[in-house]
Parts: sequence; C-alpha cells; structure tokens
Amino acid sequence: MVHLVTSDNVEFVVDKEVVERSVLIKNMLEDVGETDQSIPLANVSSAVLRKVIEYCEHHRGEPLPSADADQNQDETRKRTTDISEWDQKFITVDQEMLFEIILAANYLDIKSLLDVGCKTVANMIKGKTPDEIRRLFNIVNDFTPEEEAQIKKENEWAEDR
Amino acid sequence: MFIGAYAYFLSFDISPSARFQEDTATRDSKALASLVLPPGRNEHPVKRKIEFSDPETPRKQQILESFSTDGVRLVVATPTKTIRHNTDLTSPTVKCLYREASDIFLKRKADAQLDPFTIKCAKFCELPPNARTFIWSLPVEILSSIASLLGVRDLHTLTQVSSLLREVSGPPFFANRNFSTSPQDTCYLRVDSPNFDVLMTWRRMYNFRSPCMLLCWIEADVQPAQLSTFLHFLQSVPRKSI
Repeated sequence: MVHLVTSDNVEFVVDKEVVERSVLIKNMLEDVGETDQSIPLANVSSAVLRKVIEYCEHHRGEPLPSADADQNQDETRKRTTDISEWDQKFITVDQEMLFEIILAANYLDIKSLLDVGCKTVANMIKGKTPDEIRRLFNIVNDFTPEEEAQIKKENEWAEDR
Repeated sequence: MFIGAYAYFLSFDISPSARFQEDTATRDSKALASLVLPPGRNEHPVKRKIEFSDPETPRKQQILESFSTDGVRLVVATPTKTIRHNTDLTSPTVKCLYREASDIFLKRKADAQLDPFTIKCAKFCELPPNARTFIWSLPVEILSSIASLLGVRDLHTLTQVSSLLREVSGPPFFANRNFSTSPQDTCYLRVDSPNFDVLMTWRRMYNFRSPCMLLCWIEADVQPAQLSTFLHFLQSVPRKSI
C-alpha cells in the first residue's frame, strides 16, 4: 500500500497497482523503494485526488501507454474525441473540477486521464460560436476594434463560401 | 537653498491621506519585490536589454521591458488604480491590459525561463465567481493539446475567441489548411485562392510578418468574396512591404 498526502493534509492509502498508473508516483516508488513514508502531493487537493484514485481504480490492470509509442498511433488517438461511457460519466463534473483533474493528471503524469480531460474540453468547444465559447469559459474578448473588423471580414467570406 | 525650499513646499502640499497611500504603495512594492526577485537582485535587477519592435502602448513597453529583466511579475501583479476599481471588463482599458497580459503570457511561455503558471495571479482575467481554477489555469501545452483535437472549423472559431486562444489554435489551423507560415516562407509566401481567408487569420496573428513576395494561385472558379478578402488582406498590410 502507498500513503499519499494531499495539499489539504488528507492522507490516502492506496493500492500500489492502482497508484502506479501515475508515472510520476511509479518512478518515485522505483527510485525510493518500499517505504512506509507518505508521498506529499502538494499540487493536488483531496477532492481531486479522490476522483483521480476513482479513475485509476476503474482502469486498474489496463496496459499503460508506452513512452516510445508509435507516433502514428499517438496521432490517431489524438484526432478522435470519443470517450468511453464510464469515462464520460466519470468526467461529468463542474468546470473547476474538470480543470483541476486535467492539471492533476498532467502533474501525476496519467496520460489516459489527461486525454479524457482534453477530449472533454474539446467536445465542449465543438460546434460553438466564439461568443458561446467566451460565455462557457468566462473568457474576455480582448480584441481591438481593428481586429474585430478583420474577423467580421473573415466571417463574411466564410458565410459566402 | 532654492531646491530645499521647493522640496519643502512639495511635502507641505501633500495631504496626510495621500502621503499614507504613497508610503503604503512604496512599502507594498518593496515587499513584493523581495518576494518576487531573488535575494541580491531586489535593489538592482540585472538588465538584459531586449529590443521590442513596435510597442503599442507605454504600459506595454513597461511590461515588456520588465519582462526582459525578470521583473514582469512585479509589474503585472501590481494592479493599477484603474484595475482595482474598475470591474467593467468591457471597458477599453481593461481589455487593453488583458490583451497585454495575454501577450506576455505567450512571450514568457516561449521564453520558458519563468514559471508559466504565475501569470494567472495577475488580476487582468475575470475569474468565475467562487472559482479558483478556470481555463487559463491550464498550461499552454494542454491548451495546444485540446486545440489539436479540433477540426478546421472549430480551430477557426477558436482563433476568434481571444488573443491567447488565437495564438494557440492558429498553428494547427494553418497546418489543417496546408498554409505554411514558417520563417523561410515569409520571403516567398505561396497561397492559392481557396486559402485567401487564411491570410486574414494569419494577419491577426502575433507573429505576422509581411512577406516580401506573395505567389498566388488563383483558380478558375474563384469567388468574388475570395478576391475581396484577398484585396482586404493586401490593403491591410503596410504599403510597399510586398
């Protein structure tokens, strides 16, 4: 078992096989060896780690994507935004939690979870107008009036196409 | 003697409350500098002079200069009076500052010398109520990964959302449309008529540079709107640059 301590000082005891889906922790355990000491995860809160562990539990035993995976395979994986039913249900969270999960997956180096997060954000963007995307993510329109005029011109052409 | 008297007159003229604000601002600035800058660099940061062409505003010039001396956080993280009291994000001032922050974010990311996450501490972006993490919390690499999952239409849409997303989604958009904007192509840029609209997107990019020569391939079924867009692009670039 592996002891993990989150940024808000909550300790999690997790099965080694589960936690080793994180390349960061896997490498850490390989370097340190068997230890009873807790691993501090300063960038992950308990709420987020609970979700991450839930994901790792569900995908326990699945092969990890190798670091030197074929470039073409990686490209193919990237292009599709299909998410499995369980993953889709798992990632149905509020926006803040979604971005926290993405950041945690990036920090812990859990490639498959990072993919699910990115695909979810990409699916949220798909088919929306710039205004809808701004409203969805609370993004400020920082274009100058000149740029706005150029965008209008671009869109005029796209409509005529 | 005259200078002393003048100085006395000035200090007499400042009201107690104004003096208090000035002192507080100075103290805050020093405290922030001690936090931001490494020890030994608080007083005299090492200047690495970088030339920035075409600074749009004095404020931007100031931020870019401080960027070159690693003191960008000092400038960006210190909100001016306008920002502190102005919550209207549609105002031109805030828009302008937001844009500058976005530019600096990209510059700093490209430079890869400073922590890419620190910019989120700047008060230029409007956080959703009660939210600590939002889309700008994601590093540019992840934003790029998200953009790479999108089709050409969505990428084009993303270039019209904000300046940061324009810079992130621009390269995959151009790649999708087989439009090369690599530095060697800025001399001889080749473009065919179905890609005339891409020229306008490229025109809005931060790294846009006028090509010396434009080689165009106009197809027989070219639409008037396409030609109009091309004409608009030619009119928008500085005269005599092509």
